[in-house]
Amino acid sequence: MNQALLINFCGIGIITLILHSYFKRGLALTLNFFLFAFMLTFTKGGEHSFKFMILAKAGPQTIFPAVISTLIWILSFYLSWCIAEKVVERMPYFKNRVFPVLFFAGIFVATFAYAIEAAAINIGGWNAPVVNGNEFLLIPFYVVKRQFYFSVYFLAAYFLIACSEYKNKDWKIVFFILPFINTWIPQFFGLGLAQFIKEILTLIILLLLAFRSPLRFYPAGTKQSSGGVFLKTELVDLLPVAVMVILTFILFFIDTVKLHDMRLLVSLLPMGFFILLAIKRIPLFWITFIALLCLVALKKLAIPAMLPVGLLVLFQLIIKSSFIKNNSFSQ
Amino acid sequence: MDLKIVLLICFFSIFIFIVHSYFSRGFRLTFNFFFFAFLVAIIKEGPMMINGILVKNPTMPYEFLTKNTSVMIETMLAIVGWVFTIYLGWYIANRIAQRLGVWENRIFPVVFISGLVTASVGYAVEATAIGIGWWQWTIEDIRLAGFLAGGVPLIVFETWTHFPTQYLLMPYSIIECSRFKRASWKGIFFLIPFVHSVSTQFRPELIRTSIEHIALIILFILAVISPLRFEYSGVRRPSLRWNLNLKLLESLPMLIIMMLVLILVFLDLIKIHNAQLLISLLPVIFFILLAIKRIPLLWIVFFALLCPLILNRQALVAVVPVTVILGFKILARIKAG
Repeated sequence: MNQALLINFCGIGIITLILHSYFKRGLALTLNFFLFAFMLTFTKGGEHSFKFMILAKAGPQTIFPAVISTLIWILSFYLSWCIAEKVVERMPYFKNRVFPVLFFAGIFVATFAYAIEAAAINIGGWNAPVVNGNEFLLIPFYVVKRQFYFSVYFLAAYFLIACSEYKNKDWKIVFFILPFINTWIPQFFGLGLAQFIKEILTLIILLLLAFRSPLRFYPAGTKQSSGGVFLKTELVDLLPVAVMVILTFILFFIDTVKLHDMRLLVSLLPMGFFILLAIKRIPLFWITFIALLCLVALKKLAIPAMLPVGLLVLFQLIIKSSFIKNNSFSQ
Repeated sequence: MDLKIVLLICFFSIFIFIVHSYFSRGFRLTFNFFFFAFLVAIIKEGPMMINGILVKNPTMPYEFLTKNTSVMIETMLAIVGWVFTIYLGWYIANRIAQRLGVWENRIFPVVFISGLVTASVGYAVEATAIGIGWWQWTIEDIRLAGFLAGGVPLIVFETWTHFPTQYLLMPYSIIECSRFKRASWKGIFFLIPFVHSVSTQFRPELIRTSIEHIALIILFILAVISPLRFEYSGVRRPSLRWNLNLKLLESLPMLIIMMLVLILVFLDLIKIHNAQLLISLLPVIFFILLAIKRIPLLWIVFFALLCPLILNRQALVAVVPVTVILGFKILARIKAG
């Protein structure tokens, strides 16, 4: 697949998602989301903008790869928000809460990155892995981990500033520092202990907030646009699903027809399970069953595919046990 | 003078600026200004620390020469130095704008003049710092070398103008202090610093320098033609307590800049023993004079014209502040007529 075609597809996908966002969330949220996602991700696969100016000079960029990586990450950020919202709707306790959506959005971006990178590395699109030191993934773990934290820090800043009750605070801009923290810590202190501590702390805090923080998405003040006669709500809701399905199909095509490597299809499984979880009509029991089947068939390589399902089941178990213990939580 | 003392003075001055800003513009504008000022300053000066600690082959265009000072102190000094200068430039420009008739309270003339004030502060500081041996520029820049005192390269003027205006003052003023502050799409103005930041990524270097210069020309054109005004409606200012005098509070940054000039004079004369470096102080002194409305413009023009007559071509830079303000005055007359 050549670069121009990829840019065209991603461009159409993003326009579709912008329309979805505009009709569902209104102009302000849409503009701010896509504008800041663009500024964050432009060049270097999403790490440039908050890098220090002079160091950034070290690696001059060519425009095509920069545009492709930007478009793909914007696509993944917005899709992660939509998919995570749908997944979290399966757990009424967490419905409309910011941090559970943030957590699952981060996990989705990681699974998305897994599928994209596995295909791209093998097709020779971009950076080949140095050493793949694990038996569970087809690509190095750090690639997936980096995208998880990258998306979590961006979405955290965006959700807190634009979509939570803090949007009316005079000091809300303080959350703007979050994506900077993510890029500055490795720059200032290297990729060693400080980076490890940052990642562990981020994960712990995120999980604690997901369970303990009552912070909800704050719809007041957002003007949703009416889709008119032709754009019914159901149709608008289907737009991200359509983009997701087409994207999965393209990756399937690349893995099987272009690369002739059926093993790469394993990288599509985690994302595929996320899509299944986002469709509320499919019972969790069935999805769990299919995930277990994959595990039996593919063994270690299917463990990442279990992640979305496993996390959802775990979250539900924790809520239920907490409900039994306290017997008094409110939804 | 030790760099640690300079750092302490800068921190103290910034504290005074925060107090001044809080009482004159309220919490939100103060918080956002200093938050973003520190943020962009860290983005700009962070590499110095990384170069000092991690990278053995520095790529910075300047280097500190002090031996007993840690890289952390040097980095912090560079960061707080920017915040200090940017607020000072904005304050002085706001006061000068009060002389400008139709341009009073307009955003772009204030931002444009702020850039010139920060450049003049940069000129004075750099001349002294190079003279005393705090730091030196590692790049060769001989443009207009005969017109600048103390071996200060022209790039100093460019950096000290572009960075404050295009990374902070322009987007901040439009997003927080204009009628666009209520627009749901105001985030789009973040593209101004973003375009500059991204331009550092692409080759050739000409792209970045072209963008910077074009942005400055656009800023000047906007300063002349745009009617966009500062709008502080809805800003909650705190009530003055502890018998604080409003006039005294308003003049605090002025006292700070006078203190800065005095320190630089002291260093140039007593420490470096080079009276010629005082020429680098002239532009900032003329900006201070212009900021004091009671001093008639005619007198300031007279003094400014005397400088090149006495001190020859190195003092030509001193005429710039007055020339710009006169230019605005003449344009105002033409507009009114």
